[in-house]
Amino acid sequence: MTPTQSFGLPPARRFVGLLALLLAAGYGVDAWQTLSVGRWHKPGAAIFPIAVAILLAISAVSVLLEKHGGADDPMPATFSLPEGADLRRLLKVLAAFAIYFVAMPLIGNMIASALFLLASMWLLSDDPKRSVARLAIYAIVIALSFEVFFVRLLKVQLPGGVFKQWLF
Amino acid sequence: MNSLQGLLYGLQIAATPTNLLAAFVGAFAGTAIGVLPGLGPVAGVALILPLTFSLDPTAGLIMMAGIFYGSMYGGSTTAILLNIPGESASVVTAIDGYQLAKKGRAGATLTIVAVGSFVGGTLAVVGVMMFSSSLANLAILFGPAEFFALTAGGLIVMSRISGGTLASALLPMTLGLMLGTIGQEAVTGETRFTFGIPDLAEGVSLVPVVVGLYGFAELMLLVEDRAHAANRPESVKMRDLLPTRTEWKRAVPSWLRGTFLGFLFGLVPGPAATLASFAAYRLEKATSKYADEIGTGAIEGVAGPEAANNSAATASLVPLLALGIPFTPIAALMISAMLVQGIQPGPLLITQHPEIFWGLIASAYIGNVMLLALNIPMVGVWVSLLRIPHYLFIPLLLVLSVIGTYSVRNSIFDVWVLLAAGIVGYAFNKLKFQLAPLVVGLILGPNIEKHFREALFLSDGDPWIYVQSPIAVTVWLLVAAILIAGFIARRRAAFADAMAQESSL
Repeated sequence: MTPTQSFGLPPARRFVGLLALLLAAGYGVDAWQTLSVGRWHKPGAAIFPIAVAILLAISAVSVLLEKHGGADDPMPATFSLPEGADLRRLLKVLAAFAIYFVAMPLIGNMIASALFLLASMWLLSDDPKRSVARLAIYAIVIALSFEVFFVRLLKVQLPGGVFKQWLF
Repeated sequence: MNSLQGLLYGLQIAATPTNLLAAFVGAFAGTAIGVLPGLGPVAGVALILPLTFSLDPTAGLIMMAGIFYGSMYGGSTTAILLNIPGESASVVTAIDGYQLAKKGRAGATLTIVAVGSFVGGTLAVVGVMMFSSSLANLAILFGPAEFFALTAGGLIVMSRISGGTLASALLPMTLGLMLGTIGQEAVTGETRFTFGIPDLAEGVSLVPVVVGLYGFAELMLLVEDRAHAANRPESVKMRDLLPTRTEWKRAVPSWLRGTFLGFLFGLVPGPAATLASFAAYRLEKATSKYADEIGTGAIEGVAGPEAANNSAATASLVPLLALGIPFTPIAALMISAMLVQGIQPGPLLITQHPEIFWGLIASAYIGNVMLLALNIPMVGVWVSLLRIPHYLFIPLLLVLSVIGTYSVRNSIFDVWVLLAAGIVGYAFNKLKFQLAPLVVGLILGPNIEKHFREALFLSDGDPWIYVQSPIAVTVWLLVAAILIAGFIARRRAAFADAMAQESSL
């Protein structure tokens, strides 16, 4: 079994409800202050956002006031999140994914993809004897295949980066 | 052009080599997407969306529809072999399907499911053909007030029947509506909530939101779930694929019941395929001669729900084709594809672009035949796909999601939106909030606002415009009827549960 840590679902949902209530307030005030309300016969751009802000506030309050734990409650009492090595692995994959976006315009999609593939395959493989060389070959083959299929064949525009002139 | 002439015309369109290839690629990729855990039909269609821009509009839509149907077929394979539903509509299939597999009937069950999906999908296309053209003719009479009733009413219905509590659907729905107000608004062209970010001027793109919510979030769940990664299915031999005469006989009535029920669900806004499969399962339990066996490995428990979810998936094309209104995330993506190609979806689609309307309908027949041919003889291939290690396919799908998202508007900003949507999707999955209302809110929000304001402009500010025409009144009455019926059904279910608990004490 994957090691996990349990948290109470009702407080977590209430936290989301509170965030949504704050968002509704900020969004509604911004719409009121920066957009024109207009008149009934000529409604302005603020009307709909204000209506949405009110609806968002109502839905946020309905989350805050939810009753939990009854016999007919369709929701579980807790939810689980990974912990320890699994949590670290999830966060590392997320970080690698974010670095991939930053690197993409700089070094180009193909190289950034190959590096991300290698890093994430390494992080996700449970095999203690995993070979970097083998994973690197997989990463290069997949990145190259994507480049040929999307950029060359389907003419999809992807960032070339600083190495564009030396590749292909 | 009547329905039969339209279908023949559509078959001519769908049978061109390009469109046949599009249907095949869609069916093949869709089945793979359905089989692989992590990517469901919505993320699959979203990823393929940018690729369709380089195709002819009809071919692009045929490919997207193929992926949609294909993933419905493929989703049941993992449900039966591993007790892991490939997508939400196959959750019910896993109950009896996995039990049947444990009894050594995996091959026969896969055949019953594939044929049932074919029956459901093919019969539903007949209904789509008849309903869509009639409804499109009626919809030509619709004005802003009627479209406002349809879009706003549809969203209200969706928020109530999406499953879970009201708040679990209402909060994501309003967040979707809020995201839809970002960028240039449709009536006066005023820019809103962009905070000086040029990428936001065009609004929040649908693709990164959908790929993030449905694809990235699911992949993150797979990253943390190592227990499923260790599961490997047994191989299925060709000779095991043939059901017995009794299994065929028991499946036929369930297929027909499921198809009919699924079609009705497909016409209602909401996650039609999933709801239809659950309803069909309950119907089988209520009507089948073998009701006692359902839950322990009965063929009716897979035949009915699978026919229902494919029928519902096909029927959900009716509001898309006839009215140009998307009530499901996949329909929203298909509308996006049309808009990018310069095609205005709506009631005039059938007259202005008959090649798309009839081509798509005819391709559904062809696609269903292809899926049957792909799924039964190639079951071994699909099973072997499940043996690909997670460490290979999760990174591959992540890169694919970035390429697909970036290529829509050549924007790195959209890729960051994908990451943000993925984190929101992961959190919403954990906290039991619904995702579909957020997507449909995002796509319908600008339409609702446009019709709402246009109606007020036209009526010189008279708010009674929204309930003046018989069509608008009928739509609102239908919305009220669906909400009341849902409320009564929930009360009855709660009462039945309470009675059952009381009697067990």
